[in-house]
Amino acid sequence: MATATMATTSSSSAIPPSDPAVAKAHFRVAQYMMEAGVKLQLQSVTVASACTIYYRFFSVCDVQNYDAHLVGAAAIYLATKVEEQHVKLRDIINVCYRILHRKEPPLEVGKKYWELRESVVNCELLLIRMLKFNAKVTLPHKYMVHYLKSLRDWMDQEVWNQTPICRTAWAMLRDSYHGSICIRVKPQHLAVASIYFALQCYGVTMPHREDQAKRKWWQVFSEDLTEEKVQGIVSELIDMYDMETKV
Amino acid sequence: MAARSGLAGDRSKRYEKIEFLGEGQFATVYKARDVEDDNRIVAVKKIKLGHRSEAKDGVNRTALREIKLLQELKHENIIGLLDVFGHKSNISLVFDFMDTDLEVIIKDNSLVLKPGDVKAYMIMTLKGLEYLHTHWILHRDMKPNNLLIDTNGVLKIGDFGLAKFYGSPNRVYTHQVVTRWYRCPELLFGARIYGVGVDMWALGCILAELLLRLPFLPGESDLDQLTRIFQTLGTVTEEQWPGMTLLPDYIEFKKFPGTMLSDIFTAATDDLLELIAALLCINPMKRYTATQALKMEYFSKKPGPTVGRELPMPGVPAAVLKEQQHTRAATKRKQPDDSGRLAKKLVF
Repeated sequence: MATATMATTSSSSAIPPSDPAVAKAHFRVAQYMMEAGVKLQLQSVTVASACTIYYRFFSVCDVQNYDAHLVGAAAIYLATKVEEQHVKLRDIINVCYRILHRKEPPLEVGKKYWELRESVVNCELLLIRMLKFNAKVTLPHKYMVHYLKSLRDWMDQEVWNQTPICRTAWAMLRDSYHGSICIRVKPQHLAVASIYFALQCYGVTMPHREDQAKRKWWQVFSEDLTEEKVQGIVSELIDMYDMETKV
Repeated sequence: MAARSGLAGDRSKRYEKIEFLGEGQFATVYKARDVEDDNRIVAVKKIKLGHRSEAKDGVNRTALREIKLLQELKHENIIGLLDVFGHKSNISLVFDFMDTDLEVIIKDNSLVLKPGDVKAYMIMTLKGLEYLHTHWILHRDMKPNNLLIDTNGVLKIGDFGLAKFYGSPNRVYTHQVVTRWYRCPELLFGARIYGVGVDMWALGCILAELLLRLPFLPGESDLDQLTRIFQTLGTVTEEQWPGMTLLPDYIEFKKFPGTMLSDIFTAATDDLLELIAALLCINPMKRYTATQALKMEYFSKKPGPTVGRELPMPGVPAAVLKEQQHTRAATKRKQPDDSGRLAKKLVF
């Protein structure tokens, strides 16, 4: 994690999310952010907020001009404040440094440490200004909890108890933050797609009568969602899992 | 693009400084003119960033919390956050300009508070609180100093530095909130899970202060605060407040009989006494919510609430009292932004 010069004016040429090289680079940074999240014992929502802030930043800034790992660390720091899960900046720096320098001894408090601290703090300020102080992130997590609870009451209890739908859907949602899908689709849609994908994995269908049901189960939760959109998100998730083996 | 305007857009020029209102450890407040909005008068709160590099913690948490919550809130009786901008390494928040606050009015002995005035202040505060609470937000620092009043007599709840979303069943909160004199018994007993009752109790204390023109329960320590509460309102039993004895910092108090509210507020009508009792109910489960309180008889009975412009304002002849107002505003602005905040956390 090198110290980045924050004075650089950003290039406004946003890179399309489909560029595979950029997607791969972000995938690796996301992996690093999630590892840091686990080591810092952050909640899923805090990590998801951090990733969303990170992707929002790079949707308007060119990744060439910034140290993505530094932006990642600053995004984590900002997210811990936004989600009120306070973590010491020193812990974030130590953890991030350790992930990036596995073979080296832990970071000592010295010139390097203070430089990093300064960089993260400056980068955090840059992030919040780029976000136009709109730091609040509406996450799919709360919707998912609500949807899963409704589905549980509806489904055959035996099937529900025998298949880990909740855990799988939640894990898929967490994994989805390896890509920038969170800033491109509505949180409700991402929540539905993760559940849809989880149900599909276990071959579970919601109880309904083809001849009578006017709407699919997910249309009850999100009226503006189409089968196409769900499939689109699911195939993006599959591509992402695919990328994992290639990265 | 968004990026460019976010960085380069120099909005510090949009707000022309008129006068300095106060300075604290975390912020400086200016009265300013918004040249892009018909010269509207606003208050610009400039958050300082830590200067000593070793203590640098980045974006001020309190400011961030205030930004995050106020960006989503819009109500006549909630302070309006008009704009947020960054300039160099500073963050500035632009608020509605408020001429005075309830603390100044209560302390100004040259002002007479008529029953209709008190009713008007209560309605406006309750409406603001009802709005906050229905949006699952607790203010957690209700006190006269944070109830701001503009030239038209409109009261707005301000200072959201301690506010928080509530309602998550497993989320634990700190009990070190609310300025002591306005702190409710459950917080003093160390409750980590609490609700709208903390704001409602504080409002009860504010109502009492409006009537007495003196702080109602000015405790000198947390223990003294509880003693004053029970001495005044009577010690309650586990039966009256189930669960009380299980609270982390619960201590048993002497059996105080309490004083009749009608003996403390001798001039208050029965319907007003009912409101006081409903807000200062020691059992938080039975304490009235803002919505319940607004439906009480007091608000539908005569006298009606005073209309905004007729509410008392300190230092009416502006030219004569300008100097005086200036110093008043300065001391007033200082409190919520700095020393006040520090003190809130260190009151123990």
